[in-house]
Amino acid sequence: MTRSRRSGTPVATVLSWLYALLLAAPLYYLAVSALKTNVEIFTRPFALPAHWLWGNFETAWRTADLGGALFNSVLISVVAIVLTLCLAVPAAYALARQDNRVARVVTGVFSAGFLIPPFAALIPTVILAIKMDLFYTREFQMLFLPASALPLSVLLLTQFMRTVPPALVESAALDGAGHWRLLFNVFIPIAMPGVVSVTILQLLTFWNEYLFALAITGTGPDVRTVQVALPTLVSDATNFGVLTAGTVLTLLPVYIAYSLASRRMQEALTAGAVKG
Amino acid sequence: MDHRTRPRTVRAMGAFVVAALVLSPSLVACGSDDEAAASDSIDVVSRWTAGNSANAAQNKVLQAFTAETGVKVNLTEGLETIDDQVENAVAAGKSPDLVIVNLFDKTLGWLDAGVTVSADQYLKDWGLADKIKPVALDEWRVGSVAGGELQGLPFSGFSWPLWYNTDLLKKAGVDKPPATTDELIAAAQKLRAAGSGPVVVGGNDWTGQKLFYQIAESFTDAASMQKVMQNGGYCSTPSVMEGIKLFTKLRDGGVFVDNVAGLNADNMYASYYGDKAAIMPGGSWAYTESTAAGTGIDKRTTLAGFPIPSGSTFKKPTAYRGFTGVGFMITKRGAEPGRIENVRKLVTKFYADASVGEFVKDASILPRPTATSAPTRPTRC
Repeated sequence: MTRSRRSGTPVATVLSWLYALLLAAPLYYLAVSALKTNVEIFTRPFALPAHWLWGNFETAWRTADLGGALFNSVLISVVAIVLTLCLAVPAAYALARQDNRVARVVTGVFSAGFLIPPFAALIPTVILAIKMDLFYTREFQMLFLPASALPLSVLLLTQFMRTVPPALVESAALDGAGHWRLLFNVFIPIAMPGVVSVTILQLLTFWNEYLFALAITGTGPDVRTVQVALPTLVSDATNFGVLTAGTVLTLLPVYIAYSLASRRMQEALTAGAVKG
Repeated sequence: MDHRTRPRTVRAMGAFVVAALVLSPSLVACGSDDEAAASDSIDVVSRWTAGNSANAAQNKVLQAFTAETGVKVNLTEGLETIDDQVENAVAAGKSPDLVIVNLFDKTLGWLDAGVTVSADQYLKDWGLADKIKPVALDEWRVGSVAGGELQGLPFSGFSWPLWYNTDLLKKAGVDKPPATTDELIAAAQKLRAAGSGPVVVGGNDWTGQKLFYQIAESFTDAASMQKVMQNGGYCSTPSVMEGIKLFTKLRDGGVFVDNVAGLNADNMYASYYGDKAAIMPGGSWAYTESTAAGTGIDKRTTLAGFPIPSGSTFKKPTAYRGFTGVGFMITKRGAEPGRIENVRKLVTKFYADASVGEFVKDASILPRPTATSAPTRPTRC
């Protein structure tokens, strides 16, 4: 046992480093490309830049008006995630506390949401936006994104809330706790890793959403998201250094948010494994 | 001009959206409450996006227009799916007044679909007839023939010569750009011997496609080629087959760089700008970017046509030329009484000599008949 552990450790370490390198390679490529000319990107893709073109970041920021686009993305993502949690948490609480046919049917309905590919929902969604007079507005995206995120969010949160010990719920109820008190003081604290997981997963989804943002919110400089603003840097002769610099700028908020919440995320993902 | 082929799913998406909205007339009608009398703004969708070399010149025109007229320009940048964007906006009742776009693919059907209006009368009324070449107007007419309805007002065109790196040619012992395909094969062998790549092209994208067509047309007159392109029959047309065989002869003769089939336009530019290959087919839209590349390639480049084979239909090396680059398409909304005056002021502002000068200086977007030693010919590939 001891021998196998000793012999396995270096192999595991090497494999771990290889895996880390595998993940880091595209990030490295993106970062160095952001500081190069097109010629360098295509002729020496993984080499360090001959001249470090820090100006690419300024050019990308200015020409694609990334400041305004980042603001729109942040605004839409934050409003959408708040709405998602406001709807998904109570729904998950209700489903977690009920174990009858109705609850199973409702859960099934939420699960059915996975069966609808986003592309298939595009046409009715465009028509809906027009009907609501919200075409070419950020508000529609703020409403639509939570709707699309509810199936996964509700199902994940329901599973987390089902881990709350029934005895704890009963004792709190005996002490006179109503549904809201139970939700806020018992269920949410225990299911907090799940809430964080849903928040991070959906924030990433909202941030990266492109198809609906392009088709419905549009490319107007006052409403477009950062994912729609970036392609304005593409032309018949794209400056890929500037484009990748813009991409790096759009990724930074996501990485910062993830690094701040990564510990909670890991706790959430490993919580089930420990209990199992 | 957008020569790229977009994913089929994106095209399908646009088609589905438009189809669905056309089938919902009540929805389409609900957006027609635009303030026809309001003339203090103009909505424009343009393919000269932020990353385009013509963007700065466009912005100067728009700013000058607003300063002179007090009319605010609401500019929306059209991405690769600019045609879908405009069609969605029209269906949603939020049509722009003016679309600055190239004539290709879906935009060819806009006049017929009622998205845009005929520009014939505006050409006369706005005094633009003398400013635009008849051949350019013909390319913007329905069917690309004189007498057809004018779909829009052409603004920019392009030439598409072969670029030769004079330093690499000299180093390989090639004195001047080859004028015949035999000379081209010989030059390619010398270039390879000297360690330089010969002709680089995007073998798996539009640049390779266009070069293939150009070579395939070597023995065919324009009318026959148009017929083949409209009705098919490449292999059953002897003169076209002769051109295709010429292509394979050039390929087997080592004219193209190694692994060319896997390259795209970006690889082509990088390889040529970086002195890895000595020859590339590049459009006039790349003149500005070649200077901006910073390698000095523009100083050691000479432009010429593609060499011709013995027995060719053409007497001199050939280069494509076209006027379907970018133009102005006026939408139905833009043609409304309360809005057309703003459209007139803006469009004529673009055609003012000072504005044209800005575009030529910044983006080199107009054809340069003196830039190539080869005769040019229009194409409808």
